[in-house]
Amino acid sequence: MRKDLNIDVHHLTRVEGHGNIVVNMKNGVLQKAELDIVEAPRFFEAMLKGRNFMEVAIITSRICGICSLGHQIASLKATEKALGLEVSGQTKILRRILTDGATFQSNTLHALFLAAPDFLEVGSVFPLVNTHKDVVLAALRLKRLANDIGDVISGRAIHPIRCVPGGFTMLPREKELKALQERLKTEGMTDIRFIVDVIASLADKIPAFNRETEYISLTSEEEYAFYDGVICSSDTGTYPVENYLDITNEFVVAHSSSKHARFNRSSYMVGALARFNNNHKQLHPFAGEVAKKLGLSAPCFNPYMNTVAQLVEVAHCIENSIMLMDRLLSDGIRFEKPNQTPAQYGRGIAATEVPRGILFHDYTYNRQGNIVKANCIIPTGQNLENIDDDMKKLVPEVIDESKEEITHKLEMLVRSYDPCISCSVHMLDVQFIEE
Amino acid sequence: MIKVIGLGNALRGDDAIGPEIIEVLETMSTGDSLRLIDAGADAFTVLEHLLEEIPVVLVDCADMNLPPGSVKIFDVSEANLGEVSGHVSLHGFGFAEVYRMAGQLGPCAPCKIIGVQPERVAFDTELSVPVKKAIPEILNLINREALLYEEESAYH
Repeated sequence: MRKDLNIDVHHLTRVEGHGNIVVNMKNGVLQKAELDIVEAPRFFEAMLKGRNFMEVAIITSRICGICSLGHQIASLKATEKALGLEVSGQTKILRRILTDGATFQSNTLHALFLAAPDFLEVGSVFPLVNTHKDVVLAALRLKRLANDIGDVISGRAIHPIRCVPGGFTMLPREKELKALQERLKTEGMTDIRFIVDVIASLADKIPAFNRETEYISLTSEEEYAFYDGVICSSDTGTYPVENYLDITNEFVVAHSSSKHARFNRSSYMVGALARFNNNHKQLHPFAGEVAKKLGLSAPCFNPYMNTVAQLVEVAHCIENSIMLMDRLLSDGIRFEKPNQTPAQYGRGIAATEVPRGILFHDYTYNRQGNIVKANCIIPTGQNLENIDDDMKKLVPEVIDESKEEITHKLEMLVRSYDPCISCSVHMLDVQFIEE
Repeated sequence: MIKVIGLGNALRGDDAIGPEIIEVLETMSTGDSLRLIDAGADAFTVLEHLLEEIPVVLVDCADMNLPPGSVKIFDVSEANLGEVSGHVSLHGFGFAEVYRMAGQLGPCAPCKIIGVQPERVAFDTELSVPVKKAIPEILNLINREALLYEEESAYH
């Protein structure tokens, strides 16, 4: 049995941002197995200081190029709670459709372009263009479909402009929604079926590694929760979103410029697998079939299956958008002026599920409607301690494999979490003193 | 019609010049001559537009070793791909990779890049003064490209 091992993957590829994998074993004792986050801290919350409630969501949507919609929705919800701005049922449905689109876009791109090269043992997506051109084109069509949902409902696919506090500045036309719905039913369903068939044929490439952990996500009695709900821990039950600081318990570690998080155990997992484990009974029927076909059943303790859970969610989100569009079209789209007259000023806390997991925004406004205090807790930061714990269990289990194979499995493990390191690295708990 | 794609992170000082140009153009009446796309830093949004026929003009902040606010337009071709790709900032993917991938997937749209030399790329919601001053020149270049394309289309 190997006694010594040193792995240092400098700037892991196919993830957003910069992270290093560092493993060190000496005389059979694992001394280090961790994901080092080396990006310089950002100052998102500081940028919000003094900003008026009408500007805040525009700024936060630019925190991340991949999750711009998720940050915008969490931001709008936090602002609306703080200022007592009620939104209509129609607004909530439109936001849910946008969330579905953003989720199936991001999940498809991660599964096909960032994770699939690992299953096929090629270094990047580029060789796949030659060997699996049809799959790449199907993934790009799904991305385009999601972009078109963004264009029709929010005016833009990236950095949406029509979603504002209290509602929408402009509403989609029924004709446009019907056309989108038709494309989801035909193109969207065809492409996801094809992608699932291809991924099912690669199921044996997913490492058989299990480590039970705590799974944290939103949950709701009404639906498989993305847009709204309460916090759910697979260990201890449900909590109001307002209690998020008791759940996240952020702490600093020497090897990361992003904070780590823990709740009931030494670490917890957020993201597609956590959502699936907590809410799988609420998946739409086709998504349930996809889970079965891809060999995913709850509870699943294999973090590599997060990519599979993402594909199950792609199927769910396509089905869900079709259903929500049906509801909008049968009720008819009514003109509504956004409700932007604050009924109160103070603190508002909101959570939304973004592709990588549960996202919290927490704002405090003064009586002028300007931010005096802000905090955002990003999914990747919440996953970092869990990734370290996975690596600590995985390395001894695969220690007799070649160094290249161990390195490959560690890289795959980190990538399976779909980390957005750029997003997770920011200064937290910025305290603003009101002048 | 040509597509104008603004690339960059609006929270990183002069890196915001691409999205800023899209916002400026959205307030102007550009008719059907321009289709405006704010791509943030999303490589795959660029890819899907390269796969269509409509000519693409990318606006991005680019380190060209020129004085801050300098503006240059590059015609992208396989021959100069290495040179121009260093001027495009895409998350996790190089522009050369994305352009070659588009070529592998099918015919590629004609593509030009308008590079703008930044003064500073750091977390900030404001553009520097030299980059702000470059906005009219960038708009003129975009307008010229749209006119050139219309003339070519009419000729053909």
